Amino acid sequence: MTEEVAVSLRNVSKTFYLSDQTDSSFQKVKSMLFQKLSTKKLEVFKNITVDIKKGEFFGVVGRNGSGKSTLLKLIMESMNSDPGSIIETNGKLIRLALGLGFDVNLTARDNIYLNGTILGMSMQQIGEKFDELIEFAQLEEFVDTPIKFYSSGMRSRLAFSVAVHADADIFLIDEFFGGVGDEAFKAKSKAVFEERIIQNKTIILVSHSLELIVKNCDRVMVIKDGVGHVFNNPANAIQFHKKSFGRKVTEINAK
Amino acid sequence: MIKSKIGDLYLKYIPNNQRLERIWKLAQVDFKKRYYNDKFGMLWAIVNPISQMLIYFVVFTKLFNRGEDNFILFLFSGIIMWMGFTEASNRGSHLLKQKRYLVENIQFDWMDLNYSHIISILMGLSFNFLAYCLISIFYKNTFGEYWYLFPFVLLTWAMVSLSCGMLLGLVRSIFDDAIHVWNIFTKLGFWGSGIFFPTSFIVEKYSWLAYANPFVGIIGNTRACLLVNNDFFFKLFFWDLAFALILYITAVTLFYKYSKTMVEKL
Repeated sequence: MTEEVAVSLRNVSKTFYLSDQTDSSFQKVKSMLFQKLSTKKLEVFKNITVDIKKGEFFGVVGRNGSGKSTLLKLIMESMNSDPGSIIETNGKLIRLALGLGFDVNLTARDNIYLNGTILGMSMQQIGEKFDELIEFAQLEEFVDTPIKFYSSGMRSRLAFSVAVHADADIFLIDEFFGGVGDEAFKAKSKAVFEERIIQNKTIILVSHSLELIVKNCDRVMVIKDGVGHVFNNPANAIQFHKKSFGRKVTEINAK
Repeated sequence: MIKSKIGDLYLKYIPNNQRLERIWKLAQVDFKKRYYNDKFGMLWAIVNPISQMLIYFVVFTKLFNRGEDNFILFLFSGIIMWMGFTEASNRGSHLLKQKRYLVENIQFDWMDLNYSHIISILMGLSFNFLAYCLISIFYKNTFGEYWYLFPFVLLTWAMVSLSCGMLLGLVRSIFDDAIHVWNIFTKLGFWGSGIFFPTSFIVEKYSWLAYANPFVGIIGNTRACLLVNNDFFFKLFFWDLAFALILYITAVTLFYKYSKTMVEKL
């Protein structure tokens, strides 16, 4: 781990505005013309401030719906944060989630080339790593099969293999390790994960697996009641996490 | 061992630039996907336009006796430009939804999706032009006097089509019904773009329409490039190019500003 910052979050907040929906066409037109729509304001979290350093293994825990995955999406810049939030990243990011970046109608070959080029690899580099990548994922016989026919384990293996071989600097791992194939592959991926990724990369791990968090993380953030609490000792974070959670939902009228 | 089957010979012709490779790969996969599960694959890309032209041939030359002056080529050249536009705008409007699996998991410039989308549509269009050329041989048609201006006409077409897709996508994220309004609009445009009659007719009778609808000029000038004895409308050409450029700048600016909001609402 270095002192250089990989991800910087300053006063990061996220609020969703959820409108009511009706299936009736008549009701839809009526509400559009004559009624004010009822909108729910959902404050997911407020003013999260933290610097994640290069090479750091940073864990994020919280109850379902606490905003862990939303935070990763904000860091990925695939979602807008609230005004006043500042998110800075230093390096190429990839989010590892089940079904990562794959078009299920395409073959593994096409998905590898597609993901590889988007991750910043040249076609030549992908060509050079292709065999290794497929062998690692144990998909030699299914390389030209559309991945919609793959089991979830096969998909996870492919996703993990692409991520390991890609030159991303920051890994956002979202509940990924639960489904990475059979025991043999889990052992292999764990070894590769520890060897190639933990040693060199910045990792932000979202997981319900407290064991994984305690074992690997340098620091942990617990999102509770929309506030991010950062702990230098993962064990303390887990203790804090076990307390009760909640969040505030306010109903407002849309103008 | 699995052999790496790159097979991408075209890459030799693309400058060694990672972004260009990415755009090309996205476009290639997008185009390939249209025929992915078909037994005859991309053969359909050429069979479809040829069969379409044969149907026009039977309908217009045998039933309506409109076989004069390469009428089938005249008609087909207009239709492929218009159909390409409607396909580009409709599919472009839900591009981020289709590619959500990429935008949510990998960090890259989302504008590349739009560029690859229009290249993929151009790939389809090239098969239509191939069919057009094959039928041209049958009609002994040679290209028009202004054939060398065709890349610029195509560029105008691409900018208008790309921009309309992006803008429609933005509008749809607020008001999903916009796609139905757009479909009505494109049906009107089909009859108001000079597909069935000469551009000169619109320019003379309804000059306002020629300036309000860029496809009047685009289709007229496509014919001037692809068919003999057709006038090139220079004034419309420059007007359309300027229109396309302004539309493109507006669409790109709005896309960068609101694309994240769009993804959030998907």
